[in-house]
Amino acid sequence: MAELLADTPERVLALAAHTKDADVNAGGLLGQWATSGSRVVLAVLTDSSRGTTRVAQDRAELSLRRAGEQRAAGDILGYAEIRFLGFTDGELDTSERPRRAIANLIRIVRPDVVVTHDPWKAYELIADHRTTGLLACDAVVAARDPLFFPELEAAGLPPWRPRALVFFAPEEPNAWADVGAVLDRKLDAVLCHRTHSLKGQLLGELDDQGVGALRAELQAEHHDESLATYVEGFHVHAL
Amino acid sequence: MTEKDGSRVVAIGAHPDDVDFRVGGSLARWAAAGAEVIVIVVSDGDRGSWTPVAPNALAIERLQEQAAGARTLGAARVIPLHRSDGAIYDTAGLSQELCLWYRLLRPTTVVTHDPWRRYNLHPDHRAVGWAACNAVVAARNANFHPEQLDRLRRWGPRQVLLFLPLRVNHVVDVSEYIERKVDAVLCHRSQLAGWASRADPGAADQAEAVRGRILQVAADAAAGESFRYGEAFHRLASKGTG
Repeated sequence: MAELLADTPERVLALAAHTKDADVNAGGLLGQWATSGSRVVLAVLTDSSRGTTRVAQDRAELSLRRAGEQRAAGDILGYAEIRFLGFTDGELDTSERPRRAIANLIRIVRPDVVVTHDPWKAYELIADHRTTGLLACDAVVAARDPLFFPELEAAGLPPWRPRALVFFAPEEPNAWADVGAVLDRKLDAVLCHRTHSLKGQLLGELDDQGVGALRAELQAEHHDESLATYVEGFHVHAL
Repeated sequence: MTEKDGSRVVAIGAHPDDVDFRVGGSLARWAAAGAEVIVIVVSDGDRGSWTPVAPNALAIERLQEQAAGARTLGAARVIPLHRSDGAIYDTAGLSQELCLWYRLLRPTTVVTHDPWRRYNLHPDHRAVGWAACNAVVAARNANFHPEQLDRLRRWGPRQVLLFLPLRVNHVVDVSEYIERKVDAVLCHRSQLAGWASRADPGAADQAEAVRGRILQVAADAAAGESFRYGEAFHRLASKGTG
Protein backbone atom coordinates (compact mmCIF):
# COMPACT_ATOMS: atom_id res chain seq x y z
CA MET A 1 0.00 0.00 0.00
CA ALA A 2 2.72 2.42 0.99
CA GLU A 3 4.45 1.74 -2.37
CA LEU A 4 1.46 3.24 -4.10
CA LEU A 5 2.00 6.52 -2.29
CA ALA A 6 5.74 6.47 -3.11
CA ASP A 7 5.06 5.98 -6.86
CA THR A 8 4.18 8.99 -8.96
CA PRO A 9 0.80 8.50 -10.63
CA GLU A 10 0.29 10.12 -13.99
CA ARG A 11 -3.03 11.74 -13.08
CA VAL A 12 -4.65 12.42 -9.69
CA LEU A 13 -8.15 13.64 -8.85
CA ALA A 14 -8.69 15.06 -5.36
CA LEU A 15 -12.31 15.47 -4.21
CA ALA A 16 -12.90 17.78 -1.26
CA ALA A 17 -16.08 19.07 0.35
CA HIS A 18 -14.82 22.62 0.88
CA THR A 19 -11.84 24.78 0.04
CA LYS A 20 -8.95 24.06 2.44
CA ASP A 21 -9.99 20.43 3.12
CA ALA A 22 -7.65 18.80 0.57
CA ASP A 23 -4.71 21.07 1.42
CA VAL A 24 -4.96 20.53 5.18
CA ASN A 25 -5.43 16.77 4.98
CA ALA A 26 -3.46 15.76 1.89
CA GLY A 27 -1.59 18.87 0.71
CA GLY A 28 1.77 17.17 1.31
CA LEU A 29 0.97 14.10 -0.78
CA LEU A 30 -0.70 16.13 -3.55
CA GLY A 31 2.15 18.67 -3.58
CA GLN A 32 4.75 15.90 -3.63
CA TRP A 33 3.04 14.19 -6.55
CA ALA A 34 2.63 17.47 -8.46
CA THR A 35 6.31 18.25 -7.92
CA SER A 36 7.25 14.79 -9.21
CA GLY A 37 5.24 15.29 -12.39
CA SER A 38 1.68 14.13 -11.66
CA ARG A 39 -1.17 16.11 -13.12
CA VAL A 40 -3.19 16.93 -9.97
CA VAL A 41 -6.78 18.11 -10.43
CA LEU A 42 -8.73 19.29 -7.38
CA ALA A 43 -12.52 19.39 -7.36
CA VAL A 44 -14.22 21.30 -4.53
CA LEU A 45 -17.76 19.99 -4.31
CA THR A 46 -19.53 22.75 -2.39
CA ASP A 47 -19.46 26.52 -2.71
CA SER A 48 -17.89 26.73 0.80
CA SER A 49 -20.30 29.51 1.64
CA ARG A 50 -21.31 28.54 5.17
CA GLY A 51 -18.37 27.37 7.26
CA THR A 52 -17.58 30.50 9.19
CA THR A 53 -18.02 31.76 12.70
CA ARG A 54 -18.95 35.16 11.31
CA VAL A 55 -22.58 36.21 11.43
CA ALA A 56 -24.43 37.79 8.50
CA GLN A 57 -21.61 37.06 6.11
CA ASP A 58 -22.42 37.66 2.46
CA ARG A 59 -22.34 34.06 1.32
CA ALA A 60 -21.71 34.74 -2.35
CA GLU A 61 -18.79 36.99 -1.49
CA LEU A 62 -17.40 34.45 0.97
CA SER A 63 -17.62 31.75 -1.68
CA LEU A 64 -15.71 33.88 -4.20
CA ARG A 65 -13.01 34.83 -1.71
CA ARG A 66 -12.55 31.18 -0.81
CA ALA A 67 -12.20 30.18 -4.45
CA GLY A 68 -9.40 32.75 -4.69
CA GLU A 69 -7.74 31.39 -1.56
CA GLN A 70 -7.95 27.85 -2.97
CA ARG A 71 -6.36 28.97 -6.26
CA ALA A 72 -3.49 30.61 -4.38
CA ALA A 73 -2.96 27.46 -2.31
CA GLY A 74 -3.17 25.30 -5.44
CA ASP A 75 -0.50 27.43 -7.16
CA ILE A 76 1.86 26.83 -4.23
CA LEU A 77 1.29 23.07 -4.32
CA GLY A 78 1.35 22.81 -8.11
CA TYR A 79 -2.22 21.70 -8.81
CA ALA A 80 -2.79 21.69 -12.58
CA GLU A 81 -6.47 22.56 -12.36
CA ILE A 82 -9.13 23.36 -9.76
CA ARG A 83 -12.82 22.85 -10.43
CA PHE A 84 -15.56 24.31 -8.25
CA LEU A 85 -18.70 22.16 -8.55
CA GLY A 86 -20.84 24.66 -6.66
CA PHE A 87 -23.15 22.45 -4.60
CA THR A 88 -24.57 24.34 -1.61
CA ASP A 89 -22.35 24.17 1.46
CA GLY A 90 -23.98 22.16 4.24
CA GLU A 91 -26.55 20.56 1.95
CA LEU A 92 -24.55 17.98 0.01
CA ASP A 93 -26.37 14.66 -0.38
CA THR A 94 -25.70 11.31 -2.03
CA SER A 95 -28.29 11.79 -4.75
CA GLU A 96 -27.94 11.16 -8.47
CA ARG A 97 -27.02 14.71 -9.50
CA PRO A 98 -23.74 15.04 -7.55
CA ARG A 99 -22.91 11.39 -8.26
CA ARG A 100 -23.25 12.01 -12.00
CA ALA A 101 -21.21 15.21 -11.78
CA ILE A 102 -18.32 13.37 -10.12
CA ALA A 103 -18.55 10.30 -12.39
CA ASN A 104 -18.42 12.73 -15.31
CA LEU A 105 -15.32 14.36 -13.85
CA ILE A 106 -13.61 10.99 -13.29
CA ARG A 107 -14.21 10.09 -16.94
CA ILE A 108 -12.84 13.48 -18.08
CA VAL A 109 -9.75 13.54 -15.85
CA ARG A 110 -9.09 9.74 -16.09
CA PRO A 111 -7.19 9.71 -12.78
CA ASP A 112 -4.99 6.81 -11.69
CA VAL A 113 -5.79 7.73 -8.09
CA VAL A 114 -8.78 9.43 -6.45
CA VAL A 115 -8.02 11.17 -3.14
CA THR A 116 -10.88 12.11 -0.79
CA HIS A 117 -12.45 12.21 2.70
CA ASP A 118 -12.90 8.90 4.58
CA PRO A 119 -16.69 8.53 4.90
CA TRP A 120 -16.23 5.88 7.59
CA LYS A 121 -14.29 8.18 9.90
CA ALA A 122 -16.02 7.91 13.28
CA TYR A 123 -17.20 11.08 14.98
CA GLU A 124 -16.64 13.25 11.90
CA LEU A 125 -19.34 15.78 12.68
CA ILE A 126 -19.40 17.67 9.37
CA ALA A 127 -21.93 15.94 7.13
CA ASP A 128 -20.43 17.32 3.89
CA HIS A 129 -17.17 15.51 4.67
CA ARG A 130 -18.88 12.16 5.15
CA THR A 131 -21.06 12.74 2.09
CA THR A 132 -18.12 13.68 -0.16
CA GLY A 133 -16.38 10.42 0.73
CA LEU A 134 -19.50 8.40 -0.03
CA LEU A 135 -20.07 10.27 -3.30
CA ALA A 136 -16.49 9.55 -4.35
CA CYS A 137 -17.05 5.81 -3.78
CA ASP A 138 -20.40 5.86 -5.57
CA ALA A 139 -18.98 7.83 -8.50
CA VAL A 140 -15.95 5.56 -8.90
CA VAL A 141 -18.36 2.67 -9.43
CA ALA A 142 -20.49 4.67 -11.84
CA ALA A 143 -17.43 5.89 -13.76
CA ARG A 144 -15.96 2.41 -14.30
CA ASP A 145 -19.15 0.50 -15.23
CA PRO A 146 -20.45 1.14 -18.76
CA LEU A 147 -24.13 0.75 -17.93
CA PHE A 148 -24.04 3.55 -15.35
CA PHE A 149 -24.88 6.93 -16.88
CA PRO A 150 -24.70 5.64 -20.49
CA GLU A 151 -25.29 9.19 -21.69
CA LEU A 152 -21.72 9.99 -20.61
CA GLU A 153 -20.31 7.42 -23.02
CA ALA A 154 -22.65 8.66 -25.73
CA ALA A 155 -21.12 12.10 -25.13
CA GLY A 156 -17.64 10.73 -25.76
CA LEU A 157 -16.64 9.81 -22.20
CA PRO A 158 -15.97 6.05 -22.03
CA PRO A 159 -15.78 4.26 -18.68
CA TRP A 160 -12.65 4.80 -16.60
CA ARG A 161 -11.36 2.80 -13.63
CA PRO A 162 -8.88 4.46 -11.24
CA ARG A 163 -6.29 2.14 -9.65
CA ALA A 164 -6.94 3.25 -6.10
CA LEU A 165 -8.97 5.34 -3.72
CA VAL A 166 -6.88 7.16 -1.14
CA PHE A 167 -8.82 8.38 1.90
CA PHE A 168 -7.34 11.24 3.90
CA ALA A 169 -7.84 11.84 7.65
CA PRO A 170 -8.74 8.13 7.80
CA GLU A 171 -10.43 6.06 10.44
CA GLU A 172 -7.78 3.35 10.01
CA PRO A 173 -4.55 4.53 8.33
CA ASN A 174 -2.72 1.84 6.38
CA ALA A 175 -0.14 3.96 4.55
CA TRP A 176 2.01 6.97 5.31
CA ALA A 177 3.32 9.45 2.76
CA ASP A 178 6.70 11.07 3.38
CA VAL A 179 5.96 14.78 2.95
CA GLY A 180 9.19 16.13 4.48
CA ALA A 181 10.32 17.74 1.23
CA VAL A 182 7.07 19.70 0.75
CA LEU A 183 5.93 20.38 4.31
CA ASP A 184 6.88 24.07 4.25
CA ARG A 185 4.94 24.57 1.04
CA LYS A 186 1.97 22.66 2.46
CA LEU A 187 1.87 25.00 5.45
CA ASP A 188 2.19 28.02 3.14
CA ALA A 189 -0.80 26.66 1.19
CA VAL A 190 -2.86 26.06 4.33
CA LEU A 191 -2.22 29.63 5.45
CA CYS A 192 -3.67 30.94 2.16
CA HIS A 193 -7.13 30.04 3.48
CA ARG A 194 -7.50 33.29 5.39
CA THR A 195 -11.30 33.14 5.80
CA HIS A 196 -11.09 29.66 7.36
CA SER A 197 -10.32 28.78 10.96
CA LEU A 198 -7.79 26.21 12.10
CA LYS A 199 -7.54 25.12 15.72
CA GLY A 200 -10.12 27.73 16.63
CA GLN A 201 -8.22 30.64 15.08
CA LEU A 202 -9.26 32.59 12.00
CA LEU A 203 -6.19 32.30 9.77
CA GLY A 204 -6.55 35.82 8.32
CA GLU A 205 -6.36 37.35 11.80
CA LEU A 206 -3.14 35.68 12.93
CA ASP A 207 -0.17 38.01 13.52
CA ASP A 208 3.42 36.91 12.76
CA GLN A 209 3.77 35.33 16.18
CA GLY A 210 0.49 33.44 15.78
CA VAL A 211 1.54 32.18 12.35
CA GLY A 212 4.85 30.98 13.78
CA ALA A 213 3.15 29.16 16.64
CA LEU A 214 0.63 27.51 14.31
CA ARG A 215 3.36 26.41 11.88
CA ALA A 216 5.33 24.89 14.75
CA GLU A 217 2.26 23.08 16.03
CA LEU A 218 1.40 21.68 12.59
CA GLN A 219 5.02 20.65 11.99
CA ALA A 220 5.05 18.74 15.26
CA GLU A 221 1.77 17.00 14.36
CA HIS A 222 3.24 15.82 11.05
CA HIS A 223 6.44 14.49 12.59
CA ASP A 224 6.84 10.74 12.86
CA GLU A 225 9.67 9.70 15.15
CA SER A 226 10.02 6.13 13.96
CA LEU A 227 10.28 7.23 10.32
CA ALA A 228 12.31 10.34 11.26
CA THR A 229 10.42 12.50 8.80
CA TYR A 230 7.14 14.35 8.31
CA VAL A 231 4.17 12.27 7.20
CA GLU A 232 0.51 12.30 6.25
CA GLY A 233 -1.56 9.19 7.01
CA PHE A 234 -3.99 7.65 4.54
CA HIS A 235 -6.18 4.64 3.99
CA VAL A 236 -5.32 3.27 0.56
CA HIS A 237 -7.98 1.11 -1.08
CA ALA A 238 -6.84 -0.60 -4.27
CA LEU A 239 -9.60 -0.96 -6.87
CA MET B 1 -20.47 17.85 32.63
CA THR B 2 -20.71 20.86 34.83
CA GLU B 3 -23.59 20.06 37.11
CA LYS B 4 -24.43 23.55 38.17
CA ASP B 5 -27.67 25.46 38.01
CA GLY B 6 -28.29 26.90 34.62
CA SER B 7 -27.01 23.96 32.66
CA ARG B 8 -29.59 22.48 30.35
CA VAL B 9 -29.69 19.01 28.89
CA VAL B 10 -31.65 18.07 25.78
CA ALA B 11 -31.88 14.29 25.34
CA ILE B 12 -33.17 13.10 21.98
CA GLY B 13 -34.52 9.60 21.46
CA ALA B 14 -36.13 7.94 18.47
CA HIS B 15 -38.91 6.31 20.49
CA PRO B 16 -40.56 6.76 23.86
CA ASP B 17 -38.36 4.69 26.25
CA ASP B 18 -35.02 4.95 24.33
CA VAL B 19 -33.74 7.79 26.47
CA ASP B 20 -35.00 6.37 29.78
CA PHE B 21 -33.51 2.97 28.98
CA ARG B 22 -30.12 4.21 27.82
CA VAL B 23 -29.43 7.34 29.85
CA GLY B 24 -32.13 7.51 32.53
CA GLY B 25 -29.58 7.37 35.35
CA SER B 26 -27.56 10.26 33.94
CA LEU B 27 -30.68 12.37 33.35
CA ALA B 28 -31.82 11.74 36.94
CA ARG B 29 -28.38 12.66 38.25
CA TRP B 30 -28.20 15.89 36.25
CA ALA B 31 -31.77 16.87 37.17
CA ALA B 32 -31.01 16.28 40.85
CA ALA B 33 -27.94 18.51 40.50
CA GLY B 34 -30.11 21.37 39.23
CA ALA B 35 -29.90 21.01 35.46
CA GLU B 36 -33.02 21.53 33.39
CA VAL B 37 -33.58 18.26 31.55
CA ILE B 38 -35.72 18.16 28.42
CA VAL B 39 -36.57 15.01 26.50
CA ILE B 40 -37.30 15.18 22.77
CA VAL B 41 -38.96 12.03 21.48
CA VAL B 42 -38.95 11.94 17.71
CA SER B 43 -41.54 9.23 17.04
CA ASP B 44 -44.66 8.27 18.94
CA GLY B 45 -43.58 4.64 19.15
CA ASP B 46 -46.75 3.65 17.35
CA ARG B 47 -45.28 0.43 15.92
CA GLY B 48 -43.67 -0.74 19.15
CA SER B 49 -45.71 -3.86 19.71
CA TRP B 50 -45.41 -7.50 18.66
CA THR B 51 -49.16 -7.89 18.38
CA PRO B 52 -51.42 -5.95 16.01
CA VAL B 53 -52.73 -2.82 17.72
CA ALA B 54 -54.45 0.38 16.74
CA PRO B 55 -51.45 2.68 16.09
CA ASN B 56 -53.14 5.78 17.49
CA ALA B 57 -54.04 4.04 20.72
CA LEU B 58 -50.50 2.74 21.15
CA ALA B 59 -49.02 6.17 20.36
CA ILE B 60 -51.14 7.82 23.03
CA GLU B 61 -50.28 5.14 25.56
CA ARG B 62 -46.57 5.35 24.86
CA LEU B 63 -46.39 9.14 25.02
CA GLN B 64 -48.15 8.93 28.39
CA GLU B 65 -45.58 6.37 29.48
CA GLN B 66 -42.78 8.67 28.32
CA ALA B 67 -44.30 11.56 30.28
CA ALA B 68 -44.39 9.38 33.40
CA GLY B 69 -40.83 8.16 32.84
CA ALA B 70 -39.54 11.70 32.38
CA ARG B 71 -41.36 12.86 35.53
CA THR B 72 -39.73 10.04 37.47
CA LEU B 73 -36.29 11.17 36.30
CA GLY B 74 -36.99 14.80 37.18
CA ALA B 75 -37.13 16.03 33.60
CA ALA B 76 -38.91 19.33 33.08
CA ARG B 77 -40.52 18.65 29.71
CA VAL B 78 -41.14 16.08 27.03
CA ILE B 79 -41.36 17.40 23.47
CA PRO B 80 -42.82 14.91 20.98
CA LEU B 81 -42.02 15.49 17.32
CA HIS B 82 -44.71 13.01 16.25
CA ARG B 83 -42.81 11.22 13.49
CA SER B 84 -44.12 7.77 12.73
CA ASP B 85 -42.28 4.87 14.36
CA GLY B 86 -40.13 2.99 11.85
CA ALA B 87 -40.38 5.83 9.36
CA ILE B 88 -37.94 8.37 10.75
CA TYR B 89 -35.61 9.53 8.00
CA ASP B 90 -32.49 11.66 8.28
CA THR B 91 -33.95 14.47 6.20
CA ALA B 92 -33.06 18.14 6.00
CA GLY B 93 -36.48 18.76 7.54
CA LEU B 94 -35.77 16.79 10.72
CA SER B 95 -32.38 18.39 11.17
CA GLN B 96 -33.91 21.84 10.58
CA GLU B 97 -36.56 21.14 13.22
CA LEU B 98 -33.95 20.00 15.76
CA CYS B 99 -31.82 23.04 14.90
CA LEU B 100 -34.81 25.21 15.79
CA TRP B 101 -35.24 23.39 19.11
CA TYR B 102 -31.54 23.85 19.96
CA ARG B 103 -31.82 27.57 19.25
CA LEU B 104 -35.00 27.81 21.31
CA LEU B 105 -33.92 25.66 24.26
CA ARG B 106 -30.19 26.54 24.22
CA PRO B 107 -28.92 23.25 25.71
CA THR B 108 -25.41 23.08 27.14
CA THR B 109 -25.48 19.31 26.57
CA VAL B 110 -27.14 17.35 23.77
CA VAL B 111 -27.61 13.60 24.33
CA THR B 112 -28.59 11.25 21.51
CA HIS B 113 -28.05 7.94 19.67
CA ASP B 114 -24.52 7.33 18.29
CA PRO B 115 -25.04 7.13 14.50
CA TRP B 116 -21.49 5.84 14.00
CA ARG B 117 -22.21 2.67 15.93
CA ARG B 118 -21.83 -0.29 13.58
CA TYR B 119 -24.44 -2.95 13.00
CA ASN B 120 -27.04 -0.65 14.50
CA LEU B 121 -29.98 -2.31 12.81
CA HIS B 122 -32.82 0.02 13.74
CA PRO B 123 -33.01 2.73 11.06
CA ASP B 124 -34.76 5.16 13.42
CA HIS B 125 -31.80 5.09 15.82
CA ARG B 126 -29.34 5.90 13.04
CA ALA B 127 -31.58 8.56 11.49
CA VAL B 128 -32.10 10.39 14.78
CA GLY B 129 -28.37 10.25 15.56
CA TRP B 130 -27.44 11.75 12.20
CA ALA B 131 -30.14 14.42 12.27
CA ALA B 132 -29.30 15.43 15.85
CA CYS B 133 -25.57 15.72 15.04
CA ASN B 134 -26.20 17.59 11.78
CA ALA B 135 -28.45 19.97 13.69
CA VAL B 136 -25.59 20.75 16.11
CA VAL B 137 -23.43 21.83 13.17
CA ALA B 138 -26.29 23.92 11.78
CA ALA B 139 -27.50 25.54 15.01
CA ARG B 140 -24.12 27.05 15.87
CA ASN B 141 -23.67 28.64 12.45
CA ALA B 142 -25.76 31.67 11.53
CA ASN B 143 -25.57 30.77 7.86
CA PHE B 144 -27.80 27.74 8.41
CA HIS B 145 -31.54 28.36 8.53
CA PRO B 146 -31.15 32.13 8.90
CA GLU B 147 -34.96 32.46 8.77
CA GLN B 148 -34.94 31.09 12.34
CA LEU B 149 -32.75 33.95 13.52
CA ASP B 150 -35.23 36.81 13.39
CA ARG B 151 -35.97 36.30 17.06
CA LEU B 152 -33.50 33.60 18.05
CA ARG B 153 -29.73 33.43 18.20
CA ARG B 154 -27.40 30.77 16.91
CA TRP B 155 -26.48 28.27 19.59
CA GLY B 156 -23.79 25.64 20.11
CA PRO B 157 -23.89 23.17 23.01
CA ARG B 158 -20.69 22.62 24.96
CA GLN B 159 -20.82 18.89 24.45
CA VAL B 160 -22.65 16.13 22.63
CA LEU B 161 -22.97 12.82 24.46
CA LEU B 162 -23.72 9.81 22.25
CA PHE B 163 -25.22 6.73 23.87
CA LEU B 164 -24.68 3.10 22.82
CA PRO B 165 -21.43 4.41 21.36
CA LEU B 166 -19.04 2.90 18.85
CA ARG B 167 -16.21 3.93 21.22
CA VAL B 168 -16.70 4.74 24.90
CA ASN B 169 -14.70 7.70 26.20
CA HIS B 170 -16.94 8.90 29.03
CA VAL B 171 -18.81 7.02 31.77
CA VAL B 172 -21.28 8.76 34.08
CA ASP B 173 -21.57 7.45 37.65
CA VAL B 174 -25.27 6.64 38.12
CA SER B 175 -24.89 4.46 41.24
CA GLU B 176 -27.16 6.68 43.32
CA TYR B 177 -29.78 6.95 40.59
CA ILE B 178 -30.01 3.40 39.30
CA GLU B 179 -33.27 2.59 41.11
CA ARG B 180 -34.76 5.84 39.83
CA LYS B 181 -33.81 4.72 36.35
CA VAL B 182 -35.45 1.34 36.93
CA ASP B 183 -38.63 3.10 38.08
CA ALA B 184 -38.60 5.29 34.96
CA VAL B 185 -38.09 2.34 32.64
CA LEU B 186 -40.90 0.44 34.35
CA CYS B 187 -43.25 3.31 33.46
CA HIS B 188 -43.13 1.94 29.92
CA ARG B 189 -45.66 -0.77 30.73
CA SER B 190 -46.53 -1.51 27.10
CA GLN B 191 -42.94 -2.63 26.52
CA LEU B 192 -42.47 -4.63 29.69
CA ALA B 193 -43.42 -8.09 28.44
CA GLY B 194 -41.10 -7.86 25.43
CA TRP B 195 -38.14 -6.68 27.49
CA ALA B 196 -38.71 -9.27 30.19
CA SER B 197 -38.87 -12.13 27.69
CA ARG B 198 -35.52 -11.07 26.24
CA ALA B 199 -33.89 -10.46 29.64
CA ASP B 200 -35.10 -13.71 31.21
CA PRO B 201 -37.48 -15.90 29.19
CA GLY B 202 -40.05 -17.42 31.50
CA ALA B 203 -39.43 -15.00 34.35
CA ALA B 204 -42.24 -15.04 36.90
CA ASP B 205 -41.74 -11.37 37.76
CA GLN B 206 -41.38 -9.29 34.60
CA ALA B 207 -40.42 -6.10 36.43
CA GLU B 208 -37.70 -7.89 38.37
CA ALA B 209 -36.32 -9.42 35.16
CA VAL B 210 -36.07 -5.97 33.55
CA ARG B 211 -34.51 -4.52 36.71
CA GLY B 212 -31.90 -7.28 36.71
CA ARG B 213 -31.02 -6.54 33.10
CA ILE B 214 -30.68 -2.79 33.75
CA LEU B 215 -28.43 -3.39 36.76
CA GLN B 216 -26.26 -5.80 34.76
CA VAL B 217 -25.80 -3.35 31.87
CA ALA B 218 -24.98 -0.53 34.31
CA ALA B 219 -22.50 -2.71 36.20
CA ASP B 220 -20.79 -3.69 32.92
CA ALA B 221 -20.54 -0.01 31.94
CA ALA B 222 -18.85 0.73 35.28
CA ALA B 223 -16.25 -2.05 34.88
CA GLY B 224 -12.85 -0.59 35.67
CA GLU B 225 -14.36 2.55 37.18
CA SER B 226 -14.37 3.48 40.86
CA PHE B 227 -18.16 3.25 41.09
CA ARG B 228 -20.73 0.48 40.86
CA TYR B 229 -23.17 1.53 38.15
CA GLY B 230 -22.50 3.63 35.09
CA GLU B 231 -23.83 4.75 31.72
CA ALA B 232 -21.40 4.82 28.80
CA PHE B 233 -21.05 7.58 26.21
CA HIS B 234 -18.86 8.93 23.48
CA ARG B 235 -18.36 12.56 24.36
CA LEU B 236 -17.77 15.14 21.63
CA ALA B 237 -16.67 18.51 22.87
CA SER B 238 -18.40 21.00 20.64
CA LYS B 239 -17.61 24.50 19.54
CA GLY B 240 -19.49 26.99 21.71
CA THR B 241 -21.43 29.94 20.42
CA GLY B 242 -18.60 32.36 21.12
